[in-house]
Amino acid sequence: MTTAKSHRRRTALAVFVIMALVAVFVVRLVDIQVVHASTLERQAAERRGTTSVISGSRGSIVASDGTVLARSVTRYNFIATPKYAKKSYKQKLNGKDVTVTMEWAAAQIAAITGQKPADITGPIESALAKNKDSQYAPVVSGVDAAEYQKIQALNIPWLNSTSYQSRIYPDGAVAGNILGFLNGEGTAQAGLEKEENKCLTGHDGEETYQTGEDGVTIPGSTVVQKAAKDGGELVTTIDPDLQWFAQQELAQIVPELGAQFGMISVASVKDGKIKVAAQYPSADPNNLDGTATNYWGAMMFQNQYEPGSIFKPLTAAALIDSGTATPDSHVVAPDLLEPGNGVEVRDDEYHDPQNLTMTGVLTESSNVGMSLLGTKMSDQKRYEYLKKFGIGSTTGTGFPGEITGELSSPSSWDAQTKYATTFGQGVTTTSAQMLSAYQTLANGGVRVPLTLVEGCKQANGTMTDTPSTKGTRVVSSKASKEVLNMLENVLKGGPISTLPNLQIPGYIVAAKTGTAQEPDGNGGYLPNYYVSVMGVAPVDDPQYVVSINIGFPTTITSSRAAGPLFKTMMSQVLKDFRVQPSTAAPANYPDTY
Amino acid sequence: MSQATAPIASVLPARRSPSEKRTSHLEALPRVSRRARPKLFYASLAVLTVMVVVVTQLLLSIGVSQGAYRIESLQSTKASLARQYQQASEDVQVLSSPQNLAAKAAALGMVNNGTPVYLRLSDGVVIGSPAAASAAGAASGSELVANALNSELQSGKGSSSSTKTSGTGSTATDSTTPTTNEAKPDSTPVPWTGALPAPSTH
Repeated sequence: MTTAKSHRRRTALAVFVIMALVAVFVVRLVDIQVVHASTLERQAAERRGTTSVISGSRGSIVASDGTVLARSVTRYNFIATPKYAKKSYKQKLNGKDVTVTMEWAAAQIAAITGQKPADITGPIESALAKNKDSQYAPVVSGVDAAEYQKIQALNIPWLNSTSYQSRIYPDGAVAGNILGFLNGEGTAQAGLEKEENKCLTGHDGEETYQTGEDGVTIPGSTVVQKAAKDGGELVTTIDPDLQWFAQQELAQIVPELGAQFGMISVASVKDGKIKVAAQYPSADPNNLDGTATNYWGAMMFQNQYEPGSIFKPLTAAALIDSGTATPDSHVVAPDLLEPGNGVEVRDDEYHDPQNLTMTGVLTESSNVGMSLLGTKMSDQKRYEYLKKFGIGSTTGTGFPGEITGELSSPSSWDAQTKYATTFGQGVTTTSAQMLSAYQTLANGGVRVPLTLVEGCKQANGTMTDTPSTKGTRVVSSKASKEVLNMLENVLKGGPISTLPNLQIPGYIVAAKTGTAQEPDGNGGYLPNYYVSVMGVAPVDDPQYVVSINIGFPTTITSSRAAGPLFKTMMSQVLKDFRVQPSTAAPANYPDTY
Repeated sequence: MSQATAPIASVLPARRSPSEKRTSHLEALPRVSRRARPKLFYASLAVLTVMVVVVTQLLLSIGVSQGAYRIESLQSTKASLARQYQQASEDVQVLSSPQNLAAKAAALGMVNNGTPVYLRLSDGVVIGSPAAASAAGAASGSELVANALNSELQSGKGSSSSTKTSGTGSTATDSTTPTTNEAKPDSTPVPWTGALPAPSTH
């Protein structure tokens, strides 16, 4: 009885142990084959085979028409193995027998790369002098694909190649300052390259494979461990042809005027897209050393100046919008205003007191007139309008290193600043901020954030990271329309205008000049001026804002220095974008009464 | 105990019975030789099948590894073509840079007309005063906007092509289309042959 019982118990125990063992094995099997299968497989492949990196390349930067402005290319280095370089041997090359010596190879390579043969033999000899078994002497660096193929065809056994990604900018200095550049390690340093680095960066993948003795991959042994992902394609709003035109004009005119620098920017009115962001001197990202370091950045966003009279239309818009003044508001303007507290406001030229309308104040660019009108509204209210125009804050492009300029709050204004801020002194702005403010005036009083980027185009064609184009109202559309109509008189070249006749046939163009003195940094002002013309066309259906700034011209110091360039640039913009000529009649506001 | 002995007793007589049966069922063994022939046939069939399988597998694997060499060589051709494509597209992009195009246009005697004139179709009014463009004052004549790649392509490629002809000429297949374009004289106008282009109107 007990034996049968123990027999059964033993059987049960055995069965249980076996089942338990089987269960353990099953668990382990599932663990290996299912749960950790991919990890183990990868480890196995890595242990057995060769791992190679599949490079994910950095995306291109293109214009909206597809013109490539920046792209990544493969460049090659060649490294000699000095230990074997000295041995000569015979080989057949293109059906001819040649004796390959180091000197022969050096001459051949030098002919391809444009080096001297000594540039090839030199590193080899010096490496051998240090160590006669040397394996490493870099001899050629940074050759392009064509030269690489030619050198490879020489079939020199002691020459190995390595490749790396390099960045080229096919249009050179065209928009170079906006595009930015990478450093030697391929890290973005400035401009759109830096701003949109997340979009552009590619991610390297990895694959492993096994090879036979002859180096041929064994079929079926390739395992992609991690797929490579190329960077997105950054689409900018810049128009490269127009950008080139602007840069070419600046490069011609700025030296003629004996000026230090110049800027041209163009933005589309309806959507705030920056079409041109030109400057002189400009940097060619292919050859940065050709330009002084302080001109590597984008001056439009990174340099601030007292804007001067181009600021007056903002004051005028605030006055009209708040109901303080109309285009026909009368003012008697002497050439010197001394309202007390030691404040002195002067006009550019001596003149008898004039009976000007607000339109006339803008046409003649009378500081006195604008001071008298501008101080009719409270400082705080005027300050709030200026803030809404975007003065004192960045434009929202997100451009790296963009500065805000300086607009102090009214409580800290001294008596002079209270008057000076009505005509653009005592406040600093970037050229981009002024462009944004004029975009607001042209767009019926609605400020759309400026953009340099259309978006990031992914491999599947979808556009991501498109910037917001949500506008905010600054002034009423009536006020903005009246300001543009007032500015029509400037280019007509009337008796009191700051410019000669520079009208563009067929188009009604609103423009304003500025001739601003700049602080010399020691409490005084520089002897020459920051000269500007900004304008909008066509007034009856505003399409484009053009801004011209010339820094410190010496041959012509008035706004006449920038006037002809404004006409040239605006004509080119209207022609280039096929803008319809004006159909409405000009407003013809009177300048005087 | 008594329970345990009982089954043994019942089993014992049963053991005896088969031996009794065995003695009674005696018969002659069947002939072996008759069955031998089909066995050989099946055996050889099995062996043959195995051999066919082995040989097929061998041939297949030879085929596959032959394919590997073909893949390898096609991949290196592809890499080489990709390099040629990269080089060509690089050159095209630099050649189509505004600097190069403007220089070429200027070399052909083209000038930018800064005073556009418009014909309004609704009433036939000519807007603006037509004036001939002149080369004077046009900034597009000289290349003022730097492009290191373009200058490299214009000068560097020219010199490298000359060294190529004077040297051994290692790869004759390399495309040098840009340089052959350069060589073309810019002065002679292309004569127009055929009908003048005109819009078709109805």
